[in-house]
Amino acid sequence: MLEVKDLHKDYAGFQAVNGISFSLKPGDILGFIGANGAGKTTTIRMLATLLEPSSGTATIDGFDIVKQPMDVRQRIGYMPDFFGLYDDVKVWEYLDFFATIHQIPSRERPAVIKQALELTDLTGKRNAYVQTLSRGMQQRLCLAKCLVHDPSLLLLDEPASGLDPRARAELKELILELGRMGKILIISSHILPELSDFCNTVAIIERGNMVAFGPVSSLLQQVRQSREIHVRVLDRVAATHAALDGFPGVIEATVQSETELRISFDGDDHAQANVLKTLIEKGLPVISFQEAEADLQDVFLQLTTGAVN
Amino acid sequence: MAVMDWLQEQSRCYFNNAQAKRDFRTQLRGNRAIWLWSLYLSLLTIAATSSYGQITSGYGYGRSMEVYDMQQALRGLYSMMLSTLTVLMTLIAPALTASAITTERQRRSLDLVFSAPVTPKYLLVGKMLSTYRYVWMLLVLSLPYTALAVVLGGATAWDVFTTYVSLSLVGLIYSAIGLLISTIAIRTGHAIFYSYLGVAAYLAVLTAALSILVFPTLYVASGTSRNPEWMNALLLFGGGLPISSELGETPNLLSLVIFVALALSLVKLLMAGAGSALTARAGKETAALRVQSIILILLTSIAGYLGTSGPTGSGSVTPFKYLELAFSILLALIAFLPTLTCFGTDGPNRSRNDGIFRIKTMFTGTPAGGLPFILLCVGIMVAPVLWIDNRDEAALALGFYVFGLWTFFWGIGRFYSGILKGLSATKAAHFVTMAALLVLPDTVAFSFGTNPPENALSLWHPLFANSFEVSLSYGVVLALIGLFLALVQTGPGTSKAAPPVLTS
Repeated sequence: MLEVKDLHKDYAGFQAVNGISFSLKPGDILGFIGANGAGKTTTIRMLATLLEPSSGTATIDGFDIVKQPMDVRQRIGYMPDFFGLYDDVKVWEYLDFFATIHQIPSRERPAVIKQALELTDLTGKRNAYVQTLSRGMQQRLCLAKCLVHDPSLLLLDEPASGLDPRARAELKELILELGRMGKILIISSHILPELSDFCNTVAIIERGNMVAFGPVSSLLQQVRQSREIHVRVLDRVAATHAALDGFPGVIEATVQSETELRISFDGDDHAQANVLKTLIEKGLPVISFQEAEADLQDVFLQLTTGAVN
Repeated sequence: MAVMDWLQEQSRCYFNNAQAKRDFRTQLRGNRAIWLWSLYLSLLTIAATSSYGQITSGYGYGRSMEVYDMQQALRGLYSMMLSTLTVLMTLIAPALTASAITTERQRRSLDLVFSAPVTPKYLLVGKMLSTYRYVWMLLVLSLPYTALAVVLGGATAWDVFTTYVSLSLVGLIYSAIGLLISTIAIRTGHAIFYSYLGVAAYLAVLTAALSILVFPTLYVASGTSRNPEWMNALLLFGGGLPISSELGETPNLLSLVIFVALALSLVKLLMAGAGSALTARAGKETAALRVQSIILILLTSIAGYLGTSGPTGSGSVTPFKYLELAFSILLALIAFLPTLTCFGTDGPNRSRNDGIFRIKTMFTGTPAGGLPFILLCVGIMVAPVLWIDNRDEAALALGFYVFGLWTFFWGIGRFYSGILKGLSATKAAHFVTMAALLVLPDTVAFSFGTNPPENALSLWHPLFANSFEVSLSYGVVLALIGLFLALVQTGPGTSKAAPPVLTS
């Protein structure tokens, strides 16, 4: 359980983070979104106990980041945006080093390293030198070092930057798996479509202020007052349009092409199901009936002004 | 239970240090170590053969040599080996540690380490252990060469033992200097350069403060002008050989004990300084640094007291002479006074003004604890005057003057903190002002033909005046000016307003 309470960080002349508060439970994957200089990395570094908050605090499993930093560090895995890897060190030695400083008993270390390598799919590279690994593999190795001590909170700062599409897909799978394992993940990224793939919660930060926080779907609802439904029919688009006209919950139905319509809809899931049911009962040839996918970019652009510190 | 935890923590830090293990592993990987050792052994071989060649060149076949002359010549061989070792140690030890933290910083791997339950102490001890093991390997490699001098009769086993104790401890001091610089510097090249400067400054300060000012004059009274042996050992370059300097001389165990205590205390101080500089969360480290400073000042006072006492029959103890020593050592505090005193907005929380005088925060590193800590340091240095026999009023008044002077310097730092915003600018202005106040009046007076000791505007004047009234009045006036400067800008116990929020 992570609880952040009124976190502030002042630097000379400006406030990098200005009263951020939120809480996350096991299994939550938070997408931390903001422009460069918005305060994402500062917040993550405070949670990682690398920076001391000017005021406010956060607790991880009940341990305070200001008063009990050593206990907190046992419960977090931190992956910075630029991960420094040691040269002349083998993959297993790298993990052994982090397992040792996390005070994992020597008899348990081989098994822990084996598990971390399996989870990150690096077993075959156990004896390779870290500088010989590709960027994607180095990223996974850095994630593996975050996992050796089985933390409950993972702080990943721009984990997908510089990765090729395949490496990104692998990383996404890994993050989803970690979420299923009951870990809390905080991921900062600029690549918004990717975040919506695996995050179930989003926080948007601008000039150190939290401008939005919550589940992706509810944020979309905040931004978009109505649902947007895309309907494709085989033909008879005019009849379909007529059937929708005046239907409870349908604000507006617009013909997009000879086979496509867009419905602006204000209603819950039951009401939405009724629309589809009615169209089919009227014998209209519906091929697809789909609510538009969540678009974090729209949310981000609408809620932020583009101002930076 | 607490004791067991502490023991486990110490064992983890000193005997099972993952950082040391990792660093040592990478140090020995590849050909780098082999090349370095080869070069090192080659230099020692060249030094040994050329020295031996010089000794034997004057004594060809059929020519005889007195035993005493031969012994002196072999002694020369031993000295030559020691000089070579000393130079190599001075070059290698600081350079090994100077890159320790800067490399981590440039690689940006420090965040990874400090997001794990690792204290600055653990990291620094690990770095120190790995490099110090390396230094010891170099010392062990040199053993056959120094053993040669023992076999041939140029040195005794005790000489070799004390030499290696001296070399290893001075190597430890040099390594600690390198490590401290490494935590402050940004680039490795700068760190190596400043580490050599640091070593030079260490030698210069010790030589100036301990050798020139006090000891020669006191030892002249006994008929010789030798420095105490523990000081030679600390300096290595200070002249003569460490600890036991003459063949057949009784080993001076007291000197050895003083040397080891001072060296280890200095290393602890440098390590605590590095710990405090390494992280913004430095409450514990800063406290350790200040406690260590107190211990070192205490040890220096004792050593200084013993030094001013001199050997039996060397003359009387002069409290004024001791205070000269104390004053000169306290001058080193000037370098640290801006850190103890100044506050500003561009630093971590501990640099914020939390009041003017709080004994409770004396060791935690906040500005309110600055003055109590400074006064404690000065007090410890001045206190032995009270115990020295034949105490005189002028010396006691000089003690008051020292208190006044440091309160004055502290007030300047508070004054600048009140009028300047940036912490770095405040510290720089504070340091420059103190240096100017110490140097400028005498320089100006000298240029006008006045003898500096007679210049009443000079801050050094009471040291030369040797007068109760002068010292006391200077001390009181300076203390009052200091307090006025401190109060006029920041007020008692006020806090600076929170920094403004930029709105665009």
